Amino acid sequence: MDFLLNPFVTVLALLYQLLGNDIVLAIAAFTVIIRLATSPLLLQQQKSTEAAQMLQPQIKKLQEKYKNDREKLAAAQMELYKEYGVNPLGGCLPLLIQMPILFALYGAILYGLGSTPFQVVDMSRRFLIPSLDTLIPLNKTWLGLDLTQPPVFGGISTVSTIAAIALPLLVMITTWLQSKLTMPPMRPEDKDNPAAATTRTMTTIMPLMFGFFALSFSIGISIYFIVSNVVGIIQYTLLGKAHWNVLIPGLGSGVKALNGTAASPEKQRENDAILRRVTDRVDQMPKGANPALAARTSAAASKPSAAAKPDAPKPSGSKPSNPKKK
Amino acid sequence: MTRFVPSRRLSLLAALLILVLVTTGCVGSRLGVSWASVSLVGENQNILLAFNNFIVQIDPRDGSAVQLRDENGNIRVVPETGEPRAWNYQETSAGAQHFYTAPLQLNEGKLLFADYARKLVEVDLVAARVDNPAGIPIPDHVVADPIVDDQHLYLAYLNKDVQARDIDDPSVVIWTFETENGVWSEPLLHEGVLYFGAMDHYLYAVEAATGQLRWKVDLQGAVAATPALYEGNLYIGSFARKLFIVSLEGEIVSERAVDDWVWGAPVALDGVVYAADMGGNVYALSTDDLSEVWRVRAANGGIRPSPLVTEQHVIIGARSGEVVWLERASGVIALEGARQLGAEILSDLMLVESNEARPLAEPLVIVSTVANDNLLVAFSATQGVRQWVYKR
Repeated sequence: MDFLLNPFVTVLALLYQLLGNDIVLAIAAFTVIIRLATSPLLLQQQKSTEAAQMLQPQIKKLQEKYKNDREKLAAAQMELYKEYGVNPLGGCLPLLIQMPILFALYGAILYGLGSTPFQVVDMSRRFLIPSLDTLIPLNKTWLGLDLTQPPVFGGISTVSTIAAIALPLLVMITTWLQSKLTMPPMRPEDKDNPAAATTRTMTTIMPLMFGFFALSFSIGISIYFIVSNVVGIIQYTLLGKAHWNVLIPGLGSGVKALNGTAASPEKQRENDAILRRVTDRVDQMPKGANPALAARTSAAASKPSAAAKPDAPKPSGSKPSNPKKK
Repeated sequence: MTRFVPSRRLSLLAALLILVLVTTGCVGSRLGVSWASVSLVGENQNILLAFNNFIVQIDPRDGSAVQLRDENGNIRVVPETGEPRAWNYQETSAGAQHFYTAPLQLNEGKLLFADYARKLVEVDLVAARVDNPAGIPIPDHVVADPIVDDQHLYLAYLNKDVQARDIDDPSVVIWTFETENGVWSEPLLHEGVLYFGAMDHYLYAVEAATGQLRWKVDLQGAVAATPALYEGNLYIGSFARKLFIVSLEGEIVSERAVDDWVWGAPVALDGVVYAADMGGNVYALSTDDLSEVWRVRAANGGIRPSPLVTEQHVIIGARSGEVVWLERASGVIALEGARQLGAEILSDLMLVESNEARPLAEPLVIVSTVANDNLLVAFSATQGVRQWVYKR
């Protein structure tokens, strides 16, 4: 992690120096820079997510059609993705690339706020520009608050008491707002969709979780959470991906309607034609035509399934379908 | 389909939990806030190891925990098992004592600890117990060893300031000297003046009786070490990658660039000052003008502790876990290379010599690491042979 962390710690210290030795401004500026630098990845991730959502109605139809044949369902899904030119993992890759960057940002802030001998000894040899050594220790006081400490209720000053209440609340509100704005509006068909249910649950859990972090971690980290969330909301809004109409009905969100909720009849016919092509191709496939897929689906299907009732036909995937095993 | 919902939610929650753990794990969280303090206490000059939530007294002859005795000298036993009780104090309740500093021995039976949890606590040396768990409140955390003179107890605080308190009643503050940042090393007391370096980049000289500033000098980077006094000058390094000679009047007599931060206190002896930096280098420099006698890259990791200088050797412990003996005259790595302890060495090394009450076959070098399986390791000072290991 040092190959990423050390440049980040260096940039944070440089910003601190440039911004008048103000660590809060440095954290805010650095968060904005990182969020902007990773916005192409965010855009890519958003595109993939939208594409996957657009295909949900077709996927649902395929699930219905092949509910007893997991091998064919998997093949049909892959064919469908191919038809639309969608990479099913396209949403994960940008996320995976962003993760270490965000970890490094978080780590750089933690190191930057280091205030104990252990934390400062871990800062040694991290600056890529030796002259920055003279900045240590970075000033960690802001509005009379010690940024290295978690918020304290009933603190020594009014500011610290207000901060102790306001910071966790702001973290929770901005986290909730970001989740809410980036979550697609609920559609009638999402009612029984487990993925949609999970997303809804996360919208509740995430703010609570981050609120808890804000109470447990240092104030500096809370500031990072808040700035990161606010920048995220602005980014999504500027990209036209924020669903403001979810919060304020009647307000144009700028997000184009998802297929299945407001697709034109022509588009619907085109989609149906593609779906027919896909199912025709899959129906013509001999069993075990795709050995890798067959092996994967046989492993999955050998587990008891909710769809498989006692009197239902045995899913074909449970048979040994790997040609090598035959 | 609906029956998959709980498992997916659980998976997501598990993933989030892992994310949090990885996030915190990636930045190398540690137990505690500082490294162990190693000192000598009592008539027998046993080793006292204070780290995090425990204090233990160790017999330097074999590395075993010292047995607890009653006032008549009889070994105390655990009533249930009949096993001898060890001199071992462990605080189990959260938020209670945390020990990173060497104690002051107030009298034969009492140790005074500046506890990290913002209080002064008294530890009964006979019973191995904290006498006043509530302690005497102090305004800030302490990581620097306190010092005393006839009248005062001097405390340096983690975030800012140095205080003098009444030695007879430490709850009474005599004076407070304000610094802009913390003081992480014990002050040097010389002829009524306290000399101490602070993280705010200054070396201060303060009247011990009154707390009045005599002078302060900017060393361009954080100062985390105690200055070394030698023939009327102070020798000290800073995080500005420099070593300095400062006169007792507060003038910089000489300065010299080094490769990395200087954290540990330099040691001045026989016209040579020995210092180490966080880049793994050891320097032997003239005490006159800091000109080079020799220098060597002695370890792969940074060297936080002060060098330990014996008659023949300069011994260092590094963050890479290496303990290295260097020939004092030439800086050549001696005794067939480094001893590898496999864990970070941050505490100062200590030389334990034989005494009448507790004879030793030969002097020992005591090294403390941050790992429980190598908390204290004793080497023979002259041969570098491992004598014993104290684990926990």
